[in-house]
Amino acid sequence: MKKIALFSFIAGLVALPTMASATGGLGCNIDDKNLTFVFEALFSYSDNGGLFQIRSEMESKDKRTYKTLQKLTLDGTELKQQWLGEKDIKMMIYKETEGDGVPFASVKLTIEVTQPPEEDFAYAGKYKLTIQPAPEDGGGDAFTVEGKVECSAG
Amino acid sequence: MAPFGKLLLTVPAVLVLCGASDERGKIACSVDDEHLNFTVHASFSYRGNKPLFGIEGKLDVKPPGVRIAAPSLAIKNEHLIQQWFYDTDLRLQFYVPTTDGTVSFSLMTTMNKEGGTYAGSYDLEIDPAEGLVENTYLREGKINCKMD
Repeated sequence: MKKIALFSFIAGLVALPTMASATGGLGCNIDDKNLTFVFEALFSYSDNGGLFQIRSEMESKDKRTYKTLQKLTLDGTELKQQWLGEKDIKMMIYKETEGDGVPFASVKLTIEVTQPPEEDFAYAGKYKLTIQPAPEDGGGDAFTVEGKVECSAG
Repeated sequence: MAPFGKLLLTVPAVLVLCGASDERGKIACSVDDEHLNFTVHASFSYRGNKPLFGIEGKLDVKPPGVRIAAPSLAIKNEHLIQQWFYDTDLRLQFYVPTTDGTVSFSLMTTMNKEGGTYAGSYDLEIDPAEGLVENTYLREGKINCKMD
């Protein structure tokens, strides 16, 4: 169902009459024991910009994730790096705590997917979620969990 | 990955763990072949959570018939439209609009075993503005980068 919704979203984006020749849609999904992640964005085929109109939600299921970072609605400012290549897509999303008196904590999600030769729109690969806990959540070392991710672009 | 490469990757991780101040490093890339002369250098944060900054570079296309990007095209922060600087990868894409057309320069490199240096390839695409008689100019070649 999620895949159908994703493809419907992308099809809708591509069908926008004023943008049909110049833009595509990108969507990625993760739903496993570590993370729930939904990402949707547009990109230009004309080489003059990266992803835009980004809409994304991310929920880290690890209890050591700082409370304000566990469930995030992302608007694109958290997308720190991206690469949309011919056969691969890479993204880095980073968010850290903000405000006076707030302990330092952060989450960083890196996604790297490639397009199998027989696929036109589907990409598959791995993600890494690096969590820096706050001292009150056990502090100490950052740690990384990994899993699989699927994306569609076209 | 070579041990030294792992060491280089560990440094940013340690800085993050310590909540350290935003330590900075530098990268530089260059090409000088039959098609073009390209140099760029930039600063980066070892936390790895922000785009490259302080970008300064220039591109000279050598064939005299290519008037876009001639005699020299300046590369600045605002021209970096894609970046992947993570693990052993260093990939950058610059896009420069000019009055005569657009210039796209992409470099895709991988860290060498010794660490600190990168090698890979570049793609150059120059698209003339509508109405100009020049054709799209495409070239590719090898490029090297280093990190300090």
